[in-house]
Amino acid sequence: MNVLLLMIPITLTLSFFFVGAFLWATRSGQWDDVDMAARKALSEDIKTVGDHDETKQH
Amino acid sequence: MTAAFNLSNSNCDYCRINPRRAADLFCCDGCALLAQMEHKKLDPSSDQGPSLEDQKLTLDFGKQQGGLTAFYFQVDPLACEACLQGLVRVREFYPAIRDIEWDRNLSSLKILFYHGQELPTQIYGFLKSLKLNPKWLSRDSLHKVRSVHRQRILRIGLLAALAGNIMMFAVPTYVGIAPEWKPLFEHVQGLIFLPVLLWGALPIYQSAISSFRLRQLSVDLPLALAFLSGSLLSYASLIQGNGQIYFDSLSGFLFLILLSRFLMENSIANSLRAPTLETLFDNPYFKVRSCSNRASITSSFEDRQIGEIQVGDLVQVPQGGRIPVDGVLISEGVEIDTSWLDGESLPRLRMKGASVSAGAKVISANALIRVECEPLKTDFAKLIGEVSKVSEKLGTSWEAKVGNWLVLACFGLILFLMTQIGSLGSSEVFKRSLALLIVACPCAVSFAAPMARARASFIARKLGFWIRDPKVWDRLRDPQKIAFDKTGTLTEGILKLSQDSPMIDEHLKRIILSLENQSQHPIAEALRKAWGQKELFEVSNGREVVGQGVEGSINGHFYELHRRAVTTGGAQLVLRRDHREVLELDMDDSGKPEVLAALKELQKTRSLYLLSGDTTTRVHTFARKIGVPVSHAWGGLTPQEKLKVIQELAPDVYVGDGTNDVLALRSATVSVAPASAAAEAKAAADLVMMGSEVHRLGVLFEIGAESRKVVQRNLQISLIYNVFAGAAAVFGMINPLVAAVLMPISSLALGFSTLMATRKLRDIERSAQISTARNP
Repeated sequence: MNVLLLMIPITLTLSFFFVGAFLWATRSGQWDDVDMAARKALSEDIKTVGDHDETKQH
Repeated sequence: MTAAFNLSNSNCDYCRINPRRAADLFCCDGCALLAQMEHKKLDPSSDQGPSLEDQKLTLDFGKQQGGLTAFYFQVDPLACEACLQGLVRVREFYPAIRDIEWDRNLSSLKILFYHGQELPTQIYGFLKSLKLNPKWLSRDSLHKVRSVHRQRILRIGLLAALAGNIMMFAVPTYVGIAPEWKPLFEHVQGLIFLPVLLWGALPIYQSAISSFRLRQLSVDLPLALAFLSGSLLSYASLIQGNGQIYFDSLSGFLFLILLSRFLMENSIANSLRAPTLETLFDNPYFKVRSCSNRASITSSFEDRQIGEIQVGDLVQVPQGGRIPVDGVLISEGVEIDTSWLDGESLPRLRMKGASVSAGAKVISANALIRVECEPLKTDFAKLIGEVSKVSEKLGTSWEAKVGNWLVLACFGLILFLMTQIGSLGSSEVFKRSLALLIVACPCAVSFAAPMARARASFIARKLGFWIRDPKVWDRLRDPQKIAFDKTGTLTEGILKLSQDSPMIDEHLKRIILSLENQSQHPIAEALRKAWGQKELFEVSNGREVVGQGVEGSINGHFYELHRRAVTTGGAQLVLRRDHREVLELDMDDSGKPEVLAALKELQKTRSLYLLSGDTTTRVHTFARKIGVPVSHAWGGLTPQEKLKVIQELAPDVYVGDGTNDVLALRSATVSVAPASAAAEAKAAADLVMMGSEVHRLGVLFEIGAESRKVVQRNLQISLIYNVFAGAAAVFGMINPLVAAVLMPISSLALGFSTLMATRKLRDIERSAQISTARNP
């Protein structure tokens, strides 16, 4: 059972890590738009002014 | 007939998902526009770069983010998935857009332009053509709402994580962990439970405190008491080491309660919230010449926002714009659309010196108005302010009343137990009271009822109804008295060529359209819509004669297209060539055919009433047309008179669309607004129809009846459980631990009941779609 002394801190650390990731995601607005990204990936490549500029730079 | 049973043939021609609107190939205006863009290669963007107005808007509304400028718009809920795809495609037409984001919950759009290439006016126009009713949002106005929403997501997510972790440490203690490890596992649970107690349950505490202050019984009061008592007892047991800890049940219970409320909130059309006066105008700037005091007198017109207009200033309202102030007309003669106030389809002619009211639209030409009443103090502004006030309708929720009785009974029993301290001992009384509080909390109110409403709202949304107030389902009880506004709701509020009009040859159509080419008058719009695009003649000396019509010379002949008379429900036009009459045309606002059919159907089983600001004669004519008794139809009503009729008549449902309906919509038991309604009317309504879903009102009533059945059944289960478990707790047959186990089991039973009923609701949804497909 001594392994629990190792397992409990690992569990809690992992929990804190994921909770931290969730906090970051929420605060940085990752859940604000959960619909468009998937659709943008499906739509054909759309050339924008910025893409054009980048092409020119290359 | 075979096609009638083929669902795919009756679905939208563009998205192929939603059923078509009646007498249309598409399910929504967005799909119609996107199809047009695809087939005709319509390009809404122009090659022009940013205008002066774009630059000003960028300074006032744009937010700099690196090399990009972000603009925020509040938009109406999207009618279908294809509209969402259409938004993605916006970038095809505007290469200056780097990215576009849509927040489903707040229904807001964030559009990122490359710096220096901002085209906010063009993108605003595009969103308007998609019928999304965009509203300008300042940099910070969205931030406040968004941070509240993020906070709620954060709370739900963290509660799930905390409850899950507590459960992970609780399960080994139930299944026989070695005794020496048990205290450690319990202490870890106590540690993880601390943020749940101190932060997670804050909304429940706040609601309980406010209900206590307002002296109103609320379900959150016993919830907060049970939660706090359970938590304190658990910590006391943890310190004493007697094993009576309920951290897992308490955190899981709290998570379920907050999750059900979160889902219910998300099921409603948050974006249709009350508009502010600042967001009601297409252009946030007005051309103003200051004359109010000597210090600020200006010789030329300046761009000012609505809050900066003062009494005495001169305001120039462009053709098609909405008047922001009450004032006096300085221009010679202007036609003004006052339908927001009086339901009149035709614009009214106002001469120099006439009074004009805020909210009306300028039709024929630019109008110069001297401000008599500041924009924020007009009747129109007051009406808009009314919309944002909290509705009193929420108090009528009948299952909340049953919940309150449960709470009262619970407290009564606790008082009874306290009187028994002498015989039972204080420790036993505390234990029994705690068990009673935990076991008897009215779950049907706090958990199952919101869930049932949320499901009903989701299904109604699929049928084209957006729910503004989730508790509307409690008030929608087999409606017998249904009142309608006429103009805009049942009729289109715009003139159309009468079906009795004679056949007109192509040449005359081209002449009429050429004369009307520059006119923005509703008659010109109606003719363009009826006859479509045609090759136009060159018109010399063409002009619009305010209040009369248009005239000009074509190929050496002088033509006049004048309005001869305003008839009941329409207008008569006459075309003269060289002063000799050649054609007569009738225009009317007679109503949408599919709506008329739906009304006749509703009339068979329910009592219909008509309320309108339009003239009594027109309202009575329309009433006779749809078979409504003339005694059930009122015309010439002001907003206040409409409110009075609604209060006296007390209809079960009121359907209205104009600013003049706002007070009536707020007062009616259940209020419905169509998609084409004014923003303030939509915000005042309980339900918004995404199109002309009048023909689906019957199905909506069925959903209401079904969701009520679910809530009723849940209440019965809850009452039976509460009576038996409560009695067991009072008589000391169950301890708080057993109560904490019973409580989630009862919650699961109620959840299952809701799920079973959801299948029935799905059946309604399926049958409604089939019926729409059979009767497109």
